[in-house]
Amino acid sequence: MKTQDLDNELKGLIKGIKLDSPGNDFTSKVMSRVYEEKVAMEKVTNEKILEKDFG
Amino acid sequence: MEQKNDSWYVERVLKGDTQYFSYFVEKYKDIVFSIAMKVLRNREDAEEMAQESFIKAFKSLHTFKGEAKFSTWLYRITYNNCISEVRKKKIKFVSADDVQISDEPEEMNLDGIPAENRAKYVKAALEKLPEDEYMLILLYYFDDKSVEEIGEITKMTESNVKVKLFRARKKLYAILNDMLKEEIYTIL
Repeated sequence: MKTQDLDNELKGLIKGIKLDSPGNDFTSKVMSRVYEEKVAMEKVTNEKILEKDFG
Repeated sequence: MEQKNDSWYVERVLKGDTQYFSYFVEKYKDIVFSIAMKVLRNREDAEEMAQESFIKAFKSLHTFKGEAKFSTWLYRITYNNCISEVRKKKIKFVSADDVQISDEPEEMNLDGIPAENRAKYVKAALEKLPEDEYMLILLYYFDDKSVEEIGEITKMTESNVKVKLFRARKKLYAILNDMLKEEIYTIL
């Protein structure tokens, strides 16, 4: 079999693989952390240092 | 109807619509988790590291210039996290360079395996590859990343990526052939 055909066959097979997934609540866990980080980042941005606003 | 791609979502998140970040988590969580799982070999640690990769991406999203694809940038973060974790936990990172391969040409021969079992069979063989080769194969064949993009992710030169991909593919065929000889596929 030609290399290109073999490569295409391998690609097809690998694309058919079902990868392992993290737990069902993974996205909600990440998003909770994301919102926490957002609040923390906004707090730092809005903080006045020596009365100067860095926002 | 407007086609929403990764750049559209990046823009929304940067404009303050944080909820749109969940699009990236949903889209890329399996591949990020699979890379982490392969390196850390433990579900709990892999979930934590995958989570950290997304958080890091969110925190530094303002530095994403859009010169590369979002996924390339995210996998670079994931790859760096893996390397740091491996160093911190002193895990042995099995590299392709540690494994001897023969010079004999290998070809994939899946004759005799029912078509519906082939993907499972290839997955089992893929999991036997060292971490770096697993990642190269996953990025190149599963995620359609180019040699150039894999170079950006791993900081390898393009010629090095090509050589490693060639070796990885050859080794995958050898593993598949060995598995076939042992008829492991019958228990899958």
